[in-house]
Amino acid sequence: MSLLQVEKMCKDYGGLKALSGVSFSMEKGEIVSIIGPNGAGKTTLFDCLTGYIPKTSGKVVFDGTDITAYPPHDANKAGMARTFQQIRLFPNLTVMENLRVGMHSHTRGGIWAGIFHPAWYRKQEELCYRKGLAILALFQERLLPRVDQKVMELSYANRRRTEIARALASEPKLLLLDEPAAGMNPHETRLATDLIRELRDKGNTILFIEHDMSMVMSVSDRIVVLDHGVKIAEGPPSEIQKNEDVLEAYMGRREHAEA
Amino acid sequence: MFLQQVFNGLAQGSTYALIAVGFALIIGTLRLVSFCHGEIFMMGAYVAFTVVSRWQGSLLAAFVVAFAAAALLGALVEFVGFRLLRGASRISSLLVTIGFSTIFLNAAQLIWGAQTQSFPTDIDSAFEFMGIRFTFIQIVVYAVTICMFILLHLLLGKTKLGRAIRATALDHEAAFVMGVDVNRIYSFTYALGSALGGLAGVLVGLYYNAVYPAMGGMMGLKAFSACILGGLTSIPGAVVAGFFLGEIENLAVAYISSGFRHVFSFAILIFFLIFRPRGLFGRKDSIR
Amino acid sequence: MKKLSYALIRCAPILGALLFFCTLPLYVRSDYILRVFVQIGIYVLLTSSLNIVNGYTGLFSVGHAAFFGLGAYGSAIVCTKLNLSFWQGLPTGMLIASLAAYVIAKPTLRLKGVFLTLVTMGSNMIIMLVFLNWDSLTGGSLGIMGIPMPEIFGTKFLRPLPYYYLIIVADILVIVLLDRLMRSRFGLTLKAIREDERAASCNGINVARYKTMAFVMAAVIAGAAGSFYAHYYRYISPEAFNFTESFIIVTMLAFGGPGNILGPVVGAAILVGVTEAFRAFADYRMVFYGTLLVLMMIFRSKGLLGGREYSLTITWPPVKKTVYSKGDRFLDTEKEENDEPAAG
Repeated sequence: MSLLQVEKMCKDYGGLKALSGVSFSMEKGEIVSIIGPNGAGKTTLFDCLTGYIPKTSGKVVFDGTDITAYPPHDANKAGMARTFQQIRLFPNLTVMENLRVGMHSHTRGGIWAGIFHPAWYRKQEELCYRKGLAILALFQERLLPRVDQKVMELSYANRRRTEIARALASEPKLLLLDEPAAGMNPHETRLATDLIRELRDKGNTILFIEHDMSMVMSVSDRIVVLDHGVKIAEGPPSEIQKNEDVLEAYMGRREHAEA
Repeated sequence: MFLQQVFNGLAQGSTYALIAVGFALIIGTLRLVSFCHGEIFMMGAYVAFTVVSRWQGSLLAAFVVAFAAAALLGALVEFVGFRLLRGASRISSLLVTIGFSTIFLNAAQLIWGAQTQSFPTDIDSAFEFMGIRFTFIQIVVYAVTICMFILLHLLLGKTKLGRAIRATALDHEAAFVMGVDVNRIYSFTYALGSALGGLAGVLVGLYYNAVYPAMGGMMGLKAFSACILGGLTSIPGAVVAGFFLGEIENLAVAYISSGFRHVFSFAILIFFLIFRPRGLFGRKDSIR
Repeated sequence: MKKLSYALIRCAPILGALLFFCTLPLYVRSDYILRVFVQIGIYVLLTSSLNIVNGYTGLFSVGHAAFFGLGAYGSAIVCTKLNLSFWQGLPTGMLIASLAAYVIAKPTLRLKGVFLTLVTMGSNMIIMLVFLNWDSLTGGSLGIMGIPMPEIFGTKFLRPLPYYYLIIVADILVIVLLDRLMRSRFGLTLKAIREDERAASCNGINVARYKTMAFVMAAVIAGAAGSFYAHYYRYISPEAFNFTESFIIVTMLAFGGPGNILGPVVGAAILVGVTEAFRAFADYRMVFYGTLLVLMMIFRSKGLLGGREYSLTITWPPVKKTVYSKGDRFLDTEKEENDEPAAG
């Protein structure tokens, strides 16, 4: 039983077919990357998976449940957490508060708990705080000393890291990262690659979009290639590197030097 | 009888269309909703009233002065609310327009008093044509509205300024890069939209022969309803929707009850907001 | 014992404020001043409740007087028609206001920005029209007279003093509870919606549900303020709850500073105080408010207190700064080029 199963996903914008019949599946503990030229429909695929935009047709089965019609907050509850290509943090909240919001799905506490702070609530918040520190520890001195800083005061790279940390805070069964290394320098990209490896070692399942080929080739178990909303190839990195269609559609221009 | 009501509705509808067109012009170009449009409309009516009653001016002079005064007020709101607040949050701009609406409303009350006043001119003359009674003022309303629409159409379609306005409305950054003085266009558009609103104020004041400070509040909402009905930024849409609203209201008053007049506009507004925010024939637009 | 003393220290600012306001009538023996304080108290309730919607959840409602009016009318109607007391009218008013808020919020809160603003404005006008035209129930434009005054143990509230104590307790209660609430999971959720709705929904937040909750909660508090208002002035008429009133509340919030707990207090206190001080120019009051709002937006758009959040409690005992592990995994490599805070 695979963790994620996408069947014939279609998305039309008016007459434009952003996605047409994309199918793939993911096993638990796998790292799959989605590549493709700009405008290939990668982010649209993410949006459709997490329920942010309605699908035209198709089916998404996640962990045994049909989540095709789920709104984003239910998709998150089901175990999907994502980051955005353009970072979307809560700029006026601190790093820790951002993480705390990330833990929303599996914590409790409404108005009454908020006013009276009963024992179970205080315990839960304490646990959340410690869990937040544990997650931030993945990024060590990049984020740990900045726990109580507002996110808008962070550097670009640290914001990317905070967003990943926030996604991790929801204990996702599937982590969707939209270009985790976009806008980073080679050194930072290397750190991000290390991070993804570390996350896999901890048993996370990751689906990510990336343009940086060195990163894609070195960490992915499998690669899905999209072009004009159609899946043109799928397979392990070694296969994809040799695939004629892919070379033509995507890497042909660059003679796949980086790979 | 029915035809008579249709023509009465047409007169009312043309005032709605006029104020809605000004509104749509502002929303479309500045991508921001102004909450003081109704009050500028009211100020236009009062200025015309002053010209006619205190200075014994002609009706034409009243139109011209009201047009100019409303344009000036519009330029003032634009300068304070948008030019000075460029880069601030949109809420700030909204608050400024709401602040101006309160200022105008209460200033009008202080200057002219809260009571209803009427134009002293002899404008009740009427004639019959094919069994339908037209008042002189109805003809004025039709004439002014149609003239304004033709002028606006020519301005937007045929002149360089009009092209600059349309370019700014489509993409202000691109327009700026292409050498359009975007700030000037914003000011001009806001002033023009406000002036059309002020002109509508004069027409409504004449049509009902009543001017009072609170006349703008309801009208502002009606203009908004018409804009949303017409697709928010589309000028032809606003015209059609304005006429449509005027007809609906007039027929509702004639055949159902006069108490339902405002309820209809609100019902249409809320219905469209909830079920079809892009209006009758609007495209999806990015306005917050 | 130690725990108790810590708790006392933690709450010192609140207790201090309570003590100050409770003993204030001992030095200030003028009924006029107390009346001003009662008025400020009512506006603090209203502005604080609007702050939940506009300041914390990031919606922009300009129709808050509708719920104020519903609380006032609900309470006044049941008290005059059914001969109930203030203590029964108060929950009725709150209930009616919250029901109306729910009915308005449920279908409209998915609207964005200015459309929502428009709906709140429109519903304010509609509710005001109902007050004005439902003569048999609301007395039309004449309003409702002879609303009974509250009483405790058979003692009627004749002087402003008991009203003063009542509103002070209500204010401090609401502010303290809101302060706690806004720093809890619930408050954080509202702030997340304010910061980025889309990201909030992708983090498991049911945005529509939380917005509705915030809206209803604000209406409940406004309804309570309305009920108090009705029984304090003992006469209500529709004009007190029109758009102008909503505008005053919005101005107070914008002036004091939305999104923090003390902004509404500062805004309401200063604006009511100034209005009272310049009573002779009462006609110019709304022009003044409008001008003030415009100037505020130009020169200090985040309000007098700015975008900071203030806490009502002291952290006690002081927390030691956590020592974080100095991981050496990244230290051997070159410095990150953009470790400086990025612009924007």
